[in-house]
Amino acid sequence: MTSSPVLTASGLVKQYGALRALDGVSLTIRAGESVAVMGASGSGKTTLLHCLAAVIAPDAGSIVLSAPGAAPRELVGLSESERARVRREALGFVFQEHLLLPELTAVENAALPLLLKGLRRQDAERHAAVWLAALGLAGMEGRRIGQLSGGQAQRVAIARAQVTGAPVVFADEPTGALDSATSSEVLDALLLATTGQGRTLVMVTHDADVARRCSRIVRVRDGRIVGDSETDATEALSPASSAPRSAAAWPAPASAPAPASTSTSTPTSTSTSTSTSTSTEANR
Amino acid sequence: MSNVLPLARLLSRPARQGRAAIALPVVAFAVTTALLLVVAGGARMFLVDPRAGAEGGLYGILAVLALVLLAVPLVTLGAAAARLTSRRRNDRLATLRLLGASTRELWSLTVLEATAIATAGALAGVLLYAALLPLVGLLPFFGGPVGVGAVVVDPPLGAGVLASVVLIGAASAAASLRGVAVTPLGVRTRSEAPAKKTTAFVVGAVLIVGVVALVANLGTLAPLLGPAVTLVVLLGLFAGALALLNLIGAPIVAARGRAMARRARSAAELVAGRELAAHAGPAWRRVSGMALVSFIAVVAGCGLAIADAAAEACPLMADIRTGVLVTLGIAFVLLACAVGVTQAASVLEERELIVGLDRLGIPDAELRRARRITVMVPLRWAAVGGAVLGLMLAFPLVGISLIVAPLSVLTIALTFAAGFALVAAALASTRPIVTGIRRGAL
Repeated sequence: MTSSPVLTASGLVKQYGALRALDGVSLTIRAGESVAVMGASGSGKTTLLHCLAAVIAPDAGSIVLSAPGAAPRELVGLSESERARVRREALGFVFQEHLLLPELTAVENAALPLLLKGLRRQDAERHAAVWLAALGLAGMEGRRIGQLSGGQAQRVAIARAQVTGAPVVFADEPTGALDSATSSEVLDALLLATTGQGRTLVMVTHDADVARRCSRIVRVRDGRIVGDSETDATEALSPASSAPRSAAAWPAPASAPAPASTSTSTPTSTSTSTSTSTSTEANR
Repeated sequence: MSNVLPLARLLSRPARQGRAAIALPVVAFAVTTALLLVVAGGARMFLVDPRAGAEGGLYGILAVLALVLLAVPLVTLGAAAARLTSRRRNDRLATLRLLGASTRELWSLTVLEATAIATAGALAGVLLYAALLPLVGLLPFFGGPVGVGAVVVDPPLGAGVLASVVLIGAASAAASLRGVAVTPLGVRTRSEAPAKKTTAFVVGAVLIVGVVALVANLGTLAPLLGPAVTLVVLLGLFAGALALLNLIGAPIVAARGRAMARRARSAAELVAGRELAAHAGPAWRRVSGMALVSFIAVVAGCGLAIADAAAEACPLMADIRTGVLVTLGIAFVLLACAVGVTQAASVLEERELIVGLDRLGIPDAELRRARRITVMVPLRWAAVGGAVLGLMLAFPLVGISLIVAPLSVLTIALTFAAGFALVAAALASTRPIVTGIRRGAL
């Protein structure tokens, strides 16, 4: 792996009362990697993910985010609102329980990070619809989350995580609530939408099969890294996957917010039947 | 069923969100009980106190009017407290269901806990009432302070009040389980887009017009009914009109939410608009007390305008003035408590979503704005709806000159300002819960 580091953590310490959840963790994650963080319950893997993702601040140590096209940035020492800004602008998230807003339609959920970045509603939804289509959800833009299956909802969450073109996506047991067939499909979608586009995926999982699909496995025990190895995952996509393999099938990231301007970068048109119509009102 | 009691004892241990989720409903039940005791004691005084003299009948009717007006927010607050109690249960109910607990056992657990919390709150309310009593005794009626002895509730009435508060708590908790499907995989409260309630709106609007027409023509019926029956009918029509306002309130809020979501330019407007459209009923109920407060403000404003003109000459008028101010004050406290409690309930219920939005990096201000919109939009409609209804009902009785009298207008304006300020304060008081959730402390 010769690509440049996108996240560099050194000497991370996090203490919860008497419990030392992270005990001097150092880790470098490079652009385009898919890293599975594994460990027993209480090993500190989720704390590590939350520190790297600027959700919580470690008590000591350093985390440098080197997003492409931006100056390297130290995350430790940022205020809560500054960390929220980093998450909003540079990171994407996929959770086990997808945490989508049930009142919003699929396309509105996926467009939410773009709205938070200041994009116009129309542009944000158009871009989100392209992502949904690329993830096999064309025609479902106007559905509410309760009208989608677990796997479909998780794809909406993947679209939401990637719609801003975040260079790093964090996933916390993204397939934990799905059956094995759906789990495999969602993992395909997640890998293709992230590392397949040259982006980085950091994923906490307890599932060895899921971890093997990543390019690297980091094992955590008692707040320390006890194993760090590359896998032989040369073909991330499962044979049964229906997700598009061609890079051209995936949308380009939406441009940075330009409140004064009406245009955003036009998403790459997809080779799938992208119904980019965002006439979600019809379904409301 | 025999295992319900041990289970209830186990589940009464504080959870992560425990303290706020238990303390808030206890406080709300305590406030409800204390104010209900104050109102009941006051109403009893007007009905039996010999100082009312020849005007005794009128005093009694006005006291019952105040009781009718305050009954709605009192019950709303009690129900809100009960709902907050049962929200806390949801995750545990699903687990118990998974372990094989029957629907009946879940029902018993929920009602048992709500009853226990309501009882604790009601007993605390008695203490609060005891503390308030000296102040209530200072209220000037019949030409001077009424004295504690006159307003204190007698034991049977007090016991009745306590029993009704506990009953409201238990009944609301049971009702809150009705719309919830507790499955082993979780507690589902929503999935599909809500249906438009056009029929409810049309029926409500037509019935309100009917009530207004009846009130306007009550004078024609009065000779047939006699003064006492006419007043009872009038009170009934007022209460009915307020109940009907609740019927049309939710569809208006839902329509407003849909329109807002359609035109939303920011994440806060989109989230708030969809939230209002999907949960218009709860959103309206949260602030429906404001409709009542502004309704009372119009009626009270007219009452004050009459009383002010005649207060010097007639002690009854001065008493009416005091009475409407006390009623308004109590309605305000109830409104603020209800908004605080229901907001806390909804924050705790939306915990996971708040965490999700926080992970996405939603700015604090944007989240606050979304929450503010979901409260303030229905609040505006409730305030306007209550005031318009008050105007429509008061106009045939007192005429436009009293409605636009400076004292009436001033009362209405001050009521609006105080109502909005109180609700904003109640909303702000739940901010620590949101912050706690975002920091992972709750």
